[in-house]
Amino acid sequence: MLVVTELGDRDTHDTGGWHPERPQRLDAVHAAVHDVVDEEEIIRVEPREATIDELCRVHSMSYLRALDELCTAGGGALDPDTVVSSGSCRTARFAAGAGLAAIAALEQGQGDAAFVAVRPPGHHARADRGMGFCLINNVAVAAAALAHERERVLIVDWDVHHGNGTQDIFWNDPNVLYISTHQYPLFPGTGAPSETGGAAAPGLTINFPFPEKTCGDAFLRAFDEVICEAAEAFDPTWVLVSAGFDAHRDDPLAGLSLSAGDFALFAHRVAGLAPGPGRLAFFLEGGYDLAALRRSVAATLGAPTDRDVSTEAPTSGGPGMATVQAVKEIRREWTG
Amino acid sequence: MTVRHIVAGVDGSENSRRALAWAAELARALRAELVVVHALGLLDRLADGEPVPTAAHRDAIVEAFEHSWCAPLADAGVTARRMVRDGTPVDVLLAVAEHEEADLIVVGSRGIGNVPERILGSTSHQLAARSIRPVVIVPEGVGSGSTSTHGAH
Repeated sequence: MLVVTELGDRDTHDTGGWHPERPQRLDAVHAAVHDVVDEEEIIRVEPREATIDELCRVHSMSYLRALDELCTAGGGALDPDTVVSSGSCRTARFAAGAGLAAIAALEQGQGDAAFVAVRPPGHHARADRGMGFCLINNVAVAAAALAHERERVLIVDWDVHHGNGTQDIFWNDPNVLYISTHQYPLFPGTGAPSETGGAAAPGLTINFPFPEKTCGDAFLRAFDEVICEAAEAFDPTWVLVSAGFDAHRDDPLAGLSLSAGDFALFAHRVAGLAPGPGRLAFFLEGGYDLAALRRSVAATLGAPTDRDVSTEAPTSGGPGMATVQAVKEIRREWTG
Repeated sequence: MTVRHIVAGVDGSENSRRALAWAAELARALRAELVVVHALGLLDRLADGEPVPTAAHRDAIVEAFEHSWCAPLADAGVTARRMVRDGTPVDVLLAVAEHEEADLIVVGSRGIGNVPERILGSTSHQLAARSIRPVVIVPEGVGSGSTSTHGAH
């Protein structure tokens, strides 16, 4: 059974008619879920608002207050990319709480895996500021809650942009292994292989900055030669995925060359890293071509539901192998 | 003190063009080197001012930066380098200023982002708050010229 958490009419985050991070993205995800499973195979979990205490595990109180004041004042922009409307705070709190609700459902044995279909995305949001379309770091709020319960959390972030916010938040946390595959150079400009974690968590940050036009075969090599080994050594009790789909070749905001079929393979890899049923949750991050988003989410959901739903063949033949090799070289410090 | 290196941020707005012209005049007067920087976000603005996906329009944005947004450098008589970096404007300007060991950072008071200043602060105000180096915020109305910086490219 698949746990699904959707915002529904709680999505009052209005970015304006021109913005690529728009409510219709959640409609595409909703359709993708039904492309894969029937309603009776879904455990629907209502999102709840994350509490201040839960949010403050990863964000500063001053930032949360400032964000709330901006919404109360009618909204504005945190930066040229990141728009806030009067309803954004409430939506963001529900988006963060949706992940917590999904994990609670999994803890209660209600499903094998969860998909948290929320917006705004979260992985760029840092402790003290939102950026890059992100206000609250949804996956970080969930991971911090689990770490608070002494769980060991693996976060795999396959969004095309580096999750600088998530990396910053867990930079010194020995209970969280953060692994990102992303395009470089690209916003936000971070995520070099040399960024490997702070003094208290050495080697617990792993970055693969892939060049433009990288295909799925390079990602699979990263999984098979680095990610799976690092995950096994870390021995996670939970696997959370920052599941952005803007690395798809049709996405307008980036330049990688992945297909929906590639995401299906990645999903199988991360599902294999989970310690058992009910310990895997996907969090929607980016993905701005609605048709590609629908196909990619459906392909991803094939793994936890044990179905082959990909309509696009996996890709190969691009650059990116050198990136994997560079990361392997750096990882030798920890793998011997 | 001696001002040898000046970092100026531009974003294609009229205000940033005026700030760049002011920085170029200062650099010439002090015989300082000028480094002009644009930060690429997830979205950017081209000739019509409408937001466009940066990655898809990266080459066009870089060309606009080189040939239009940096137009005040054409006859300024200063040594200038131009850089485009990925990231938010504040982070990029602080990082470049650090790398270049800048003596001064110059920005316009309000760019295209039109960030509400009363709560989180504009890019210029955030920069002033976080920078360990002197920051000059050039207000609207300073400098000459009225030609749009979203010029053809």
